[in-house]
Amino acid sequence: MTDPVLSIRDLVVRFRSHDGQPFTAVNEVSLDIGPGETFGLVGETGCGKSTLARAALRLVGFQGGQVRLLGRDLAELDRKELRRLRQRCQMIFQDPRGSLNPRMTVGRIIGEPLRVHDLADRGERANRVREMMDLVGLPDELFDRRPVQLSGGQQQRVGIARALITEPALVVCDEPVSALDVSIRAQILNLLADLRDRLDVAFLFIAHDLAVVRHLSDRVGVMYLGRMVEEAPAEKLFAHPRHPYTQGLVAAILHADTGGHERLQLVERLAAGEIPSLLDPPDGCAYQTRCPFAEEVCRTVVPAIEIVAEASGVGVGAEAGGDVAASADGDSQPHQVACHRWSEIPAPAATLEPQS
Amino acid sequence: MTGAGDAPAGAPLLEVEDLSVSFKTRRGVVRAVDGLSYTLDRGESLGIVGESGSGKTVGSLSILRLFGLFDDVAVTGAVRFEGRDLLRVSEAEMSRVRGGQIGMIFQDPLTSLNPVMPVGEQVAESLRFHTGASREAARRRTVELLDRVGIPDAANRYHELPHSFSGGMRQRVMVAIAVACEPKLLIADEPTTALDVTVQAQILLLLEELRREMGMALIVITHDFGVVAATADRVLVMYAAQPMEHCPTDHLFQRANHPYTEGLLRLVPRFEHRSHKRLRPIEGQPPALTEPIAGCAFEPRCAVAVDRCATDRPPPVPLGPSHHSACWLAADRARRETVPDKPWEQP
Repeated sequence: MTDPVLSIRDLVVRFRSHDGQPFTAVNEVSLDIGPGETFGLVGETGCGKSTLARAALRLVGFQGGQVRLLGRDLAELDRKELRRLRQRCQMIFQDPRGSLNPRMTVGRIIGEPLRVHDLADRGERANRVREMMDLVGLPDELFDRRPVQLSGGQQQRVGIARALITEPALVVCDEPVSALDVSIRAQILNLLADLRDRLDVAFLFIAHDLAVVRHLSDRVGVMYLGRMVEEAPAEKLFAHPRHPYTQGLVAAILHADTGGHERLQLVERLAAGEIPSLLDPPDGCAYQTRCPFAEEVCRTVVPAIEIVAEASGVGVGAEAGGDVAASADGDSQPHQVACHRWSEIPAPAATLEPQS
Repeated sequence: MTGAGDAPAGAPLLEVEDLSVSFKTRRGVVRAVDGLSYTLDRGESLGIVGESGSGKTVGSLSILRLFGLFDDVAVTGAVRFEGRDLLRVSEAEMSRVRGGQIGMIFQDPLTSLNPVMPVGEQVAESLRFHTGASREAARRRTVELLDRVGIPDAANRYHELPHSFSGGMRQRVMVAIAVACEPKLLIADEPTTALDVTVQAQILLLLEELRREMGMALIVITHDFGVVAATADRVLVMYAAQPMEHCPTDHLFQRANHPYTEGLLRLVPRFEHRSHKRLRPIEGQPPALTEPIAGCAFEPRCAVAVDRCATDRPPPVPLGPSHHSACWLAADRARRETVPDKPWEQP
C-alpha cells in the first residue's frame, strides 16, 4: 500500500472556552488520506471537522495522538522543517473575499506562496501565475485587478489558484462552496472535480452539505461532537449508512423531489433534539441523547469504531486505533462505524432514496 | 377602502398584482422587483425560489412594506390581502397587520431578536400589542407557545436572553413570535439557511405542522429546491427581478418548462449522481439590475433563446392549471415529445 499523504491516529485537540473551561474539540479521531484521494469530512456545527483539518496542518496544536503529513511526524518537526512541509499542503477557505488581501492584485495573491517559499523569481512567478489562472478558468485580463472587482465565483477561483500554485500534495478545502450562489457553486464544484481528476493532489474536503460532499469525495467520514462516528467509501456511506446519526444526516438532504415530507419526519425520528454542548458532553456514546436506539450500554460505554462486515452484515469485532490501521492493509476501503448497536439497526433505505 | 370582512367569498387570501419595486441608490435606480403577480389561498403554501438579487426577498417584504433603510423606493402595482391593498393602507393599520395578521420569520434569528430582552417577553410583547392580552394572560400563552415550538423547559427559559439559546432554539423562538397572534399568513425568508441540516429538517417540519394546525398560508423564500419540495404546494421561480415560472411543486420536478428553471434543477447535486459526474452550470452571470432589460432577463444566458427574447419581454404563458412560464418558447417546450423526466441528468 502506498504511504498516505496524511495519516492521523487518535488525535485529541483540547481548547478552553472563553471563561476558561476546558473542552475536547477532537476526541481520538483517526483517518488516512492516500495520494490523489479525496476525503470528505462532514458533520454539523461544533463536530470538530474544521479543528481536525487545522490540527492536521498544525495550524492549531494538539494534545494527543499522532499526525503524519507526507510521512513526517508533525510533532518532531522544527519550525523550518514545518515551513518547508507547508509548501506541499495548502488550504482553500469558505469566505473567498475575506481570505484574499484586498490591497493586492490577483496576480500577486496567486503568486504569493511562490514568493513566500522562495520557489521562483519574479519573471517565472508571473508565468506560473498565468498558467494557473488559465487552469482555474480566470481570464488573463484579471491579473491586475483587485479582489473587490471580482465576482464571488472568481474570488474563489483565485483562492483555488493560490492553493495549487506550489503543486501541493494535500489541499484542505474548508466549506469551499457554502458561501456561493447555486449557479456559481456548480461551476466551482466542477472546477474542483476537474482538478481532482487532472492533478495528483489529495483533497480533504470539509462541508456540512452532504450532497456536495458526495459529489466530490472518494471516501467520507462523519463526525459528531468531536468523534468520528462513521467512515466509508462515498457510495457505501450514502447508500447504506449504518450509524443512526449518519442515517439522520442522509435523510436530511433535501432533494428536489416529492418525498420531502416523509424525509423530514424520518430526520425527526433519527435525530431529534439538539447537539449537546461540548462543555458538558454526555457519558458513553456522544449521540445517545438523540439516538432512538440507545440502550443502557450506550449511556455508559464509548463505542469503539468497528469494521462493518460486508456480506453477513455482522461485525467483526475490532478495537479502535491499531486494528483499524492493520485491517486497512487487507481492505483499503473499509466501512467503519462507532455504534454499539449498528448490526441491529434497521436500514431506513426506502425513504432515503429520492422519488420523482 | 374595503374592510377585511368585505372580501368576496372564495377570493384568495393574498393577491399580488403586477408588483414592481425600485430603489434609488448611488449606482442608479435598481429594479428589485419587476412585474410580479401571484395569488395565495387560505392555508396554501408557496415557495419563492431564486438566487441572490432575484427579487425574492424584496418582493415578499413589500407585502409588509418593509423596505429597510431605503428612502427612495418606488412601488407600483397592488398587494391585496383579504381584499385590502396593503400598499395603500395607513402606517398605523400596517403595524397591526405586521405580526398580527401576517407573521414573518427572517434568516438570522440572532439579529432579529432583541439581545437584551428575555425571549419570553419578546413573544409576550407581540401578544399584548396585537391582542390586548393582560400581562399574565400573555405570559401564560407565551409559555404554551414556547412549549409548542419545541423549547424544552419553556416556563424557566422564558426569562433567558437570546444569547443563551442555540441557533435552532432561537429560530424556534422566532417562530413562536411569528405565530403568536395566529396570523393568516406567515412569510419565512430563508428560515433554515443558517442552521445545521438536522435542525433545518426539524424547523421545516415544525412550520409544516403549525401551518396545518392554524390553517395559515405560508410563503417560504429560499434558494433551495429541497426546501421547496419539503414545504410548498406551489412554487414561483424568480430571476433578475422577474418571475420566470409558476407551477404546482410536483410539476416542477416533472414538467419544468422555463429554461432557467431547468437550468437550476440541473445544478442540484443529486443523491444518485455518480460522484464523478459533472454538473452542468448555467454559463455567465446574472445581469446588473441597474441596466434596463428590454426582453427576457434570462436571455443572455439562455441556451435556446431566439431573436425575439432579447427585444420583447415574454408574458406568462398558461400551460395548465396554475402553471405559467414566462418564455416565448413555452408552448413549444410544453409539447416536446421527449420531456426529460430527469432534466438534471446528462443525456
